[in-house]
Amino acid sequence: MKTLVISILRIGDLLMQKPLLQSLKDQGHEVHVLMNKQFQTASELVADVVDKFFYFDRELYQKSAGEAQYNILYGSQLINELITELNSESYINIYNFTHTRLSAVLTGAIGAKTRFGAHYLQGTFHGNSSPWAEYFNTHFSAPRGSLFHYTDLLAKMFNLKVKPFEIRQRSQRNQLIFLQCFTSDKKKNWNLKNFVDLKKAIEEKYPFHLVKVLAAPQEVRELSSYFESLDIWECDLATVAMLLKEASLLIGLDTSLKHLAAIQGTPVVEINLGSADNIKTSVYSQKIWQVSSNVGCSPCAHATACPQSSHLCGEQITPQNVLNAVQEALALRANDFEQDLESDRLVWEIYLQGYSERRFQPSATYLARTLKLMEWQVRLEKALTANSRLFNVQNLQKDDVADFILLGQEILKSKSDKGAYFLKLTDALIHTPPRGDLMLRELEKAAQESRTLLKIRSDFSLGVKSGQNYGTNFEVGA
Amino acid sequence: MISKVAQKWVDSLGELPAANIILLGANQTEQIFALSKAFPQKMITVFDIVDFPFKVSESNVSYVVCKSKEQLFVSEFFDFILEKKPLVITNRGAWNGREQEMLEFFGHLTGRSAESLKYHLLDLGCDIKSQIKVGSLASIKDVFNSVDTNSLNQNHSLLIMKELVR
Repeated sequence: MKTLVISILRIGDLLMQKPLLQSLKDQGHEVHVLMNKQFQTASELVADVVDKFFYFDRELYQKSAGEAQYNILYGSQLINELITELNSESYINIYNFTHTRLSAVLTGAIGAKTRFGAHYLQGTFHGNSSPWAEYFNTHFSAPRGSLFHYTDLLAKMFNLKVKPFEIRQRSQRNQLIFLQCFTSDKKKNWNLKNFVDLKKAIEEKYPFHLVKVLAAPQEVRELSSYFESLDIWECDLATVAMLLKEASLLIGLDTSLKHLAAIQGTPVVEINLGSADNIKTSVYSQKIWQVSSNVGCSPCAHATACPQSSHLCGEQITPQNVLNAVQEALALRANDFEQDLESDRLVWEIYLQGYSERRFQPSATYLARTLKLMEWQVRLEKALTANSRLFNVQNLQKDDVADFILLGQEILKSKSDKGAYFLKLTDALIHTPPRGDLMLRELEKAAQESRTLLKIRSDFSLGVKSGQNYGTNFEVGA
Repeated sequence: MISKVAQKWVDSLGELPAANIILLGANQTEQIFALSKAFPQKMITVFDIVDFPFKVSESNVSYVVCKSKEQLFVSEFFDFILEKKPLVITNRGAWNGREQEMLEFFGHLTGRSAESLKYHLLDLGCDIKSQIKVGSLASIKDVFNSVDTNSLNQNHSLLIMKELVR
């Protein structure tokens, strides 16, 4: 069964999609992948689960549109040639793993019996209506919005079975520890002096390990001001992949390198700063070790500059914090913070797909959080009843929705809505529609969603009270 | 033997991704020779509005002379442009005193003049709006504005380009 996968994002995304490609392969698909030409070298990293690659030359298409010396339809002609080449494969299926407007149009342009995911056909976008696709659309781009990892979300959208990468046994690894010190986004970087102190601390604690700094060619100069040249290992992607496969540990920032280490079965200590998210785009491994800040603005929005006068999240994290995580990772002791989110994941799974296979034993904290969430829901319902007059307001002012704004601010400031049950409410308040009736409609939709989610959550709490465990195959109303 | 000046000019061009190249301006044979040697795999058409007597005789170099846009639009060479969509490079040193005309031809050869754009879109099978308005040189956004909405929605490659420049 010939299947094309559209994956035209960056290297890290392709690496996180590897379990999905593996799943297709396991189902007997002949897997072809269309990826960005500029990341062509990364195709080697997933070549074991892909039968054939095609390349989307995004840079050239865009360059040809912007530079006058190119024929005005040159980019369009190249795209036509690519579509013709792809159509000659006569695909049965196309999976759009990219989930953007561009990839949707591309998916609609290529012939196939069945298209999975977003696609554009006859002037309309399709494939975005499933509950999981809607969750992806509304929750994934919001800071702290998604409870599910990127790979898990795509797997749910496409109904594919995936499992996190396994960590290889210590005996299969050498005594090398790598540091990776730069990202392409300044706000995700950690002060280089911290990396120097961390290196010293690791060397003192683990005298039999070698600690080296991995560097891309353009990073060497800056790193040379902080590290001995012998400690800086400049290498390309293929060499890094080889080195990471044997290493004891990678300590790094939010880049594709951490995903590369994860697919090689190497433990990773992630230092997640700026917009780097502990859940959505963490390494997809059986065990994860993370160091992140708890300052109010963290994680911040993607693709915007740090809004603070100094880099608060980076300043809060010390080399000792990272060293603690290194000790855990070298001993392969897993963090247990994930447990805290399991109840929220379970609730969302039941809401979106009607069942959950998670095993979770709710605690007293779970019940206390449920009560807090219920209190907000009651206030939201009351505010809706008290503000029905908004329906006739033509030019909505902030004062008109003050009750909702106060509630939304309280929810955001408390940081207690870890399950993003009220995300639709805060979204509606941020993007306030100008007319009262439209605003009320958004608020009612938000209230309906949180009402249903909290009903599931409280049903679950009642089950706990009566000593039952609904963690496995729990169904709504069961 | 390639002169330093000609070699410097060729080096300044960088990589040329298209298989077919039009060089606009025929009056500097040294540069044309250097170009043909630097890119032996590419087909180079030297275009001018004047027929100059000295020509480079390399297998990958050919010459086209058109004195008016009317002559260009009905020529086989324009059919070649519509089919292959070559990259147009300029050698302004060879334009002496003819800058305005040569710039106009630059627009015709790249499909970026209003008339040339019309022919390009018709060749693509698009329904176009009654009047195409562009500035001195059309941008890709002018393409989308020139094509009838239904026609645009049926043309996958244009829709993809539209998303790429969004």
